[in-house]
Amino acid sequence: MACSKPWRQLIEKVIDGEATAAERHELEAHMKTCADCRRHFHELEEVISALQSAEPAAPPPNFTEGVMRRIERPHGREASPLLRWLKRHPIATAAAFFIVLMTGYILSLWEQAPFQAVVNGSGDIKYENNRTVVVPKGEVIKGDLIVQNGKVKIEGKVQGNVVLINSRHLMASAGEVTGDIKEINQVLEWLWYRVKQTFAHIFFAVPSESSRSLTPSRLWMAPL
Amino acid sequence: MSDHIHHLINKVKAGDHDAFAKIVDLYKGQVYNICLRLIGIPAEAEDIAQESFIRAYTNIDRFETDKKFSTWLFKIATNLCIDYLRKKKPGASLDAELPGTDGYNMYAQLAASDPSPEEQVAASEMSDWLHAEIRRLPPKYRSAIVLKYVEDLSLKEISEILDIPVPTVKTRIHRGREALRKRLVRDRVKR
Ligand SMILES: [Zn+2]
Repeated sequence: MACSKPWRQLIEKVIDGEATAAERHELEAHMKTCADCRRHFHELEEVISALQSAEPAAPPPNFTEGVMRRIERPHGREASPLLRWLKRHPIATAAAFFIVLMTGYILSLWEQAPFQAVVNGSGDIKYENNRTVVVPKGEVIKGDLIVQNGKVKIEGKVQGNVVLINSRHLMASAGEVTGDIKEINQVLEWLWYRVKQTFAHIFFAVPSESSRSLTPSRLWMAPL
Repeated sequence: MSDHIHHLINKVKAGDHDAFAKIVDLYKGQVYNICLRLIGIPAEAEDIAQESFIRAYTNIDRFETDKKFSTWLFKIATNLCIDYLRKKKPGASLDAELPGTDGYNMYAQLAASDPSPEEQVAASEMSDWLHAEIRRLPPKYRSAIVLKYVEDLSLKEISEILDIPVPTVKTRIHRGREALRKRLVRDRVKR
C-alpha cells in the first residue's frame, strides 16, 4: 500500500533536484526495500521525461505575416505615424489637447464675455442703456471700477483705478479718477490682467492696491 | 541574445515595423507552443498567439528594458489563454483545486469523459496521451506544468509569468504532475 507522506515528500525533493546527497542516499536505501516508493518514483520520472521529450509543434506558415497584417490593419498607412506618435506619448498628447481646449475656451470667454461692471469697494453705479455704466455726479467710488464689454461715463469720483476691459471710457464731464485708467483691449493683456488678479487674490488675500473686497473672484467666475 | 532583443525593441519603439517582424520570428515557436499546449486547438492557439504579439506591440512602451522580454511576452500569452479558457467554459470551475493525495472525486468525474478505446489506441504514443491529459488539468496546474516541462522555464520565471510566489508555483507543479502520474497508472491498469 501507499507509503508514508514524508517519503513521498522526499521523492518530490529528489525529483526537483533540491535534495542533499545524504537525503538522496537515504531515499535510495529506502527504495531498495519499499516497492511502493520505487514505483511512485519511476512513474513520476516517466511523466516528467515524457513531458520534456514532447516535440515542439511548428507554428503555422505565414504566422509572422499574419501578425504584421493585423498590426497594420487598424489604421491607414498615411495616418499611422501621427497616430502612433500620439499613442506613444500620452502625456504630450494630453498636454496638447489641453492647450487647444484652453485656448479655445479663453478665446470664447473673450468673445462672449457679457457686459459687466464691478465695483471693488464701496459706492453706487448706475446703468444707462446700450451697456453704459455711469458714476453719477456727486457719487464717490472708494475702490476700483472694472467694466467689461461696455462703456463708462464718470461724472462723480473714483478713488481708485478704472479698469476697462474691451470697454470705452466716455469722459463726459469733470469726473475724477484718482488712480489709473487701465484699458485692456487685447486678449493677452486681458489674460495677463486676470492672471495678476488671481495671483494677487490667492497669495496676498487683499487683491490689489486700494481695494479691500474679494470681488475679483467674481469677475473671474462670472463668464462661467 | 538579450542585447540583440533590446536593440530590436528600441527600433520598434522608434517605429520600425520590420524589427518587430524579427521579434515575432524569434519567439513565435515558443509562444505558439504555450498557446497550443494550454488550449489544445491549433486554429485557436494560432489566433491567440498572434493576438499576444499584437498586444506586445501596442504595449511595447510599457515593457521595461531591464526585464527579460520573453518573460513579459509569455505572460501576455498565458493570460490571454487563461482568459480564453475562462470565457469558453464559463460554467466549469476552471480554477478548481485538484484533490490532495487523499481525494479521488475529480478523477472519478474525469473518467466520464475518457476517450473511447479507438481514441486510446490512436493516442497510444506517450506524448500524445500526455498532451491530452494536460488539457484535462485545471488551467492553473496546466499552465504551471506547460511552462515548467514543455517550455523548460525556471521557477522564478514561471512565478513572474503567472504572478504567483515561487512556493505556489512548486505546489502547482507537484499537484499537476501527481495528477498526471495517477492517470498514467490508471490507464495502464485498464489496458
Ligand atoms: Zn516507501
